[in-house]
Amino acid sequence: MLQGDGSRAQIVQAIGEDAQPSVKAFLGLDPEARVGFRGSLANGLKNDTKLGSNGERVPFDGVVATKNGQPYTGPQGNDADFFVVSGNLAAQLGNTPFFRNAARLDTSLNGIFVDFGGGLQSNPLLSGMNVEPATFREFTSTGIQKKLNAGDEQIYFIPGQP
Amino acid sequence: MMTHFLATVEFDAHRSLPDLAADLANACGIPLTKEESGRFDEVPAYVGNVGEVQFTLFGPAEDQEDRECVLEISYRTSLPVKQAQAATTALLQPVFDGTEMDSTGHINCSAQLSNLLVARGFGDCKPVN
Repeated sequence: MLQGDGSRAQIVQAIGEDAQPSVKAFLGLDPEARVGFRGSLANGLKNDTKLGSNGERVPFDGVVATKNGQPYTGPQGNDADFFVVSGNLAAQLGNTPFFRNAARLDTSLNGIFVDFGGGLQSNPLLSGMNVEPATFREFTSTGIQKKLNAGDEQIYFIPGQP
Repeated sequence: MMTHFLATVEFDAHRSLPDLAADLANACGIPLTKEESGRFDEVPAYVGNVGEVQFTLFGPAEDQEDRECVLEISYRTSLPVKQAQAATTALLQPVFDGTEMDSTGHINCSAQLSNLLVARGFGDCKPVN
């Protein structure tokens, strides 16, 4: 059962609209860049290490009772795992092997991402979302394909969506 | 006009992420707690801050071949560079001893952070550029 004020489809629509300034900024850096999100919001369920009180899989905005088999007392809520795919931008970020934060590409992106995260948090449709500021992970095409092959769900934003 | 310092360093692959987080906290007073929100996907991390200075210590994900831990420091402020440097702790001031912006608009302080950590006993610390 969803706990937010809207269905996941509505949430995805709302995020797609709020993401447009970020999408435009990335396309300004690389016209071939593709931007989207992955993880529990795309999948509809949190990953299978996080379970509910009856051992069931948890919806993306559900309450986690155990994590990796242990009682979970950390923060609840949900987030969106945003990403941008671009070999050119990956090369600009250089040798940062684990998590290439796209905000490092240009200082002008910070304000855009802060506004994006703030807008999502203030949207009643997206209650419980932890996204301030929004963080975009940079992937190469190979890297994002590897995630897809491993069962990842990925949703891409359509540039210019109103 | 915002001032944005960035520093990235890495440590030898033999270090475990929790031990390194504890060592950094003990040696430098950097408060690091395990990131639980999932902000960095499957990449394990410890985060903390001293005022406006944000610390993120990344460890390798399970399927990652490279095993080095990486520490990133980000300091974004509306203060001019020199005032920004003065506004941080005595420990961190030498890290933000730079004025030249790179092509991304950041002031890269990786070398200064590496120097500080080597002097504090982290001999395996190297700047990442």
